[in-house]
Amino acid sequence: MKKIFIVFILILFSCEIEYDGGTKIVVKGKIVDNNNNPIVNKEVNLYISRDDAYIPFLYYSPSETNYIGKTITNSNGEYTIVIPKPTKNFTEIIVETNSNSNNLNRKQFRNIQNSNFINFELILPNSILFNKSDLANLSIEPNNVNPENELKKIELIGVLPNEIEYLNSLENEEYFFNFNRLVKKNQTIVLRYTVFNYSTNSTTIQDENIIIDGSNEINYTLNF
Amino acid sequence: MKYIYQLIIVLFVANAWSQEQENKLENDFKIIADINVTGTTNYFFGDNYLAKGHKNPSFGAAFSLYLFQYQNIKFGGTLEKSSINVSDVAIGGNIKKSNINTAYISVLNDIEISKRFVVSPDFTAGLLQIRQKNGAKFYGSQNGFRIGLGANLNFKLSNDVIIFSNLGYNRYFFEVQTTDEFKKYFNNSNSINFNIGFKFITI
Repeated sequence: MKKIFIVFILILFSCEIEYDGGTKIVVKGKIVDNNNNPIVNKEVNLYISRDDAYIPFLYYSPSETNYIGKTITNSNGEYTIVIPKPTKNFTEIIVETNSNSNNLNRKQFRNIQNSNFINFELILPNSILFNKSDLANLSIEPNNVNPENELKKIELIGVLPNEIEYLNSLENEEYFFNFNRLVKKNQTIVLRYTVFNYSTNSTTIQDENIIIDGSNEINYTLNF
Repeated sequence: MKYIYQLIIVLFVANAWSQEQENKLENDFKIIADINVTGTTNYFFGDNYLAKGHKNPSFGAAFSLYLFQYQNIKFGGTLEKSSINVSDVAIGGNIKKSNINTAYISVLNDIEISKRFVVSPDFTAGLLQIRQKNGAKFYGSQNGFRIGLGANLNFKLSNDVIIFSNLGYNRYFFEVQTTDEFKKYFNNSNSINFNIGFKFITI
């Protein structure tokens, strides 16, 4: 019983996110509005997260999130966060701007890995924050009119807040299709979708224009 | 570094000179057991993580044991543990506090200025480790080296018990890997320490 307990404790400790305090990694970025003006004094948070771990009937370790980085933007809208390097048992590094509820939308950079750092530094693309009143929620309803077709991928081309941006693509990107997206009002966006046809064994890429007016909610049915 | 060597040489020469003049102490080597128990504070300064990224000063405790004596010069070792709260969570991490564990050797020279008062200039050198935690969550450690120069002012309460204070300057060197922009910030520090404690002369 004692041995089992010791093994259990060892497993538990081995699953915690581990850090190398002797290595400090640097994340830099800038926050601007949709007119490219810097946004000052905006809070930026950095999290290191780990998915839960599970061994049937033996062991369960809940997910863990460490709120390890925190700063605000300077007068140029720029920010710098320095943290100890996560080394083991972590899934992703997340950088979140504007997590507080206010008139601007939020922005997250997700699935950041140690391999994204060059010489201990990562410079993120600008975070563009939009006024929520300038944004509409676009819902795309896929409608399978041809049973031989399978929708493989969709892509929106236009002015999009991209609230979540993955620095590394996810393992199974198709699974994470997001049919509900925020888009800027009063524009025409292009919906590019990829369809695989099982009878012809061919893949086709097609574009459709979606007119976004001043409405807050827009529903669009994609027939494929 | 050059000045530290010069000061050590001055301490030894001064000691040797005083031996010749007073002709009291011979070249004797003794095994002793002086125990020091000390409360410590360190005020870190300069453009570095311990100074600017923390809420100074640090507070801690130290235990020293002096085992050898050559003429008036004593040789010993010290273990010190102190803690300091993090103030800048942007540069270094959103961490609550840093625990500083230090182990160093000490050389001090007792200079008697009256029956009850003894002044002891000292030189210390050793290793340290900064361990960062938020509650039970451990955020890693960084290792370094430190040297220090200071002086004890001792007041003899009895032949066996001395109350003393220590004022000193310490220099720290770390080996943190980071961008060129932050290397200097994380890899060095300075502090002024002020300690108060008791010495127990057991042999």
